[in-house]
Amino acid sequence: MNALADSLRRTAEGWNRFWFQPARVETLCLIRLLCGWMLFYTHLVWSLGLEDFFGPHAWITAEALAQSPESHPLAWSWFWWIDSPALLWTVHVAALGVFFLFFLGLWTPVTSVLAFLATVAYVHRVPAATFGLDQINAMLALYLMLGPCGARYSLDAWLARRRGEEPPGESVRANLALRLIQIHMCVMYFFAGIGKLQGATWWDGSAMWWAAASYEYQSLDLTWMANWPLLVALLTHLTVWWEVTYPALVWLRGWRVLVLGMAVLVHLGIATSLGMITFGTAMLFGNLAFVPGHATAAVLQRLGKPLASRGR
Amino acid sequence: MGNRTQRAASSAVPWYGRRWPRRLVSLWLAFHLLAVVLPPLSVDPGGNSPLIGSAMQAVAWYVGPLNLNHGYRFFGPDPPLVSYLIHYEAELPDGAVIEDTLPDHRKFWPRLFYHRHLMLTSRLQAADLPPEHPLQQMLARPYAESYARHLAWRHQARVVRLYLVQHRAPGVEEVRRGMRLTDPQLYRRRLIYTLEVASPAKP
Repeated sequence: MNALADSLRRTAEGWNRFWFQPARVETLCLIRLLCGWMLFYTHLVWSLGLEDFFGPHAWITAEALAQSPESHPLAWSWFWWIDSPALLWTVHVAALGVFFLFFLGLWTPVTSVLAFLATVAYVHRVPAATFGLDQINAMLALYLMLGPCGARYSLDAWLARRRGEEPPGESVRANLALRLIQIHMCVMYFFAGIGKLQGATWWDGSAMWWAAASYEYQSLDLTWMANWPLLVALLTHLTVWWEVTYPALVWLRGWRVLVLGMAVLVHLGIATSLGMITFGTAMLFGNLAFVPGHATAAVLQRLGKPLASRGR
Repeated sequence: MGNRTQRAASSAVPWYGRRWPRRLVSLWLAFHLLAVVLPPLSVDPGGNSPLIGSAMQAVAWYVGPLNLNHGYRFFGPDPPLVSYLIHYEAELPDGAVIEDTLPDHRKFWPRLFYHRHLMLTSRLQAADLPPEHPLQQMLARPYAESYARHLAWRHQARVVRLYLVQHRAPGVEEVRRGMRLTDPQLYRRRLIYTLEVASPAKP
């Protein structure tokens, strides 16, 4: 009985340590900066076909979406109430403004919430035109709302310093947000990995070939891989092993560099070869959650030095 | 005096240091983690478990609005062996016909804009399922109708014919023999929907 009580107490202590210990804010703030830019860019691109995707005569009508398994009765979007092109453009420009302010880190407690609401409003209107990029965008925006993501590398921090205030260096809310991003990344990779285990091509080592040979996806000619079957098989198996083991190995300090290094290779590969630059880089932004705040601060300080000296 | 000191001391303790706020947040965290894990567990072909199905229904009110209901398969179970495109013919009131194939990465720039259209056309792959899957086949119909209506509005067309274009990726041996990814043999096209509009709307 005592052993059980001891074990429960240790679990509770571990839980509290994991979730409620203050963490340095730098990594979360860097994710805000990068994710804010990605949100701005992603939605700026919608401008090229705003009425085609969000107008009353859009590709997907309300009736079509209602019959689709992708629809959800609670998946709200303000676009359902917008009929006029003028109002549509006004709302769109306002949303772009919010994303840009979020990227700059101005009034982040408010702009972070608005950025998340806007992201979800776009996704829920045209789920059929969305993909992994939108999932990671919405996920990061959701968790960034929870932490002090404007405490560094932001106009908020600059304004606070002008007022003589020092923005927080450590925060439990920053830890909560980073932990949630970390766990969500583990869930994504794990299910991406075990989902692949259901496919024959990931077992017979040919999956990478089929990805490379998809003309609609490829942005780099990889047909030379037809002469390198062993390389194709190695890349195929490595991808699955890495995805399936990611949720376990990324927590181990000794393995973390290797696991995150693989993430860089895989996602840069997706970005350059499979035409999904935005998705590849957004996934890397999510992986940043595993980089400790002091490392982020040190790297950015080092990168900032030449800029500062050039500015002098 | 003692009470006042105690109250002042407890207000100095941050929320995460107090038992009840921490318990409430912990409860939410446990629920949230469950809600994050359930959608990928419920994706086909694993979506038949009554336990997961019931649990998904219980968290639907939460995962829907927060956009957490995703399977995260990313090229699983297999990468696309076939890509799905749309070819359409829009017949205008004066008899002229506009034809096009979507998406074309030479026309849609930047790449993200092209990818949005690729996702739209990929949704029609259910129309390509064998007749043993009539229910899944039907999933493509609302999209096909909706796309045809959009094209009719865009071109002020009287008739829109929508073709599903299947583009098969060539195998290793085929490429070694010199086949290109855009070889005409790799494409197959069939009419999947025809829309006739009584009075074409102005775009």
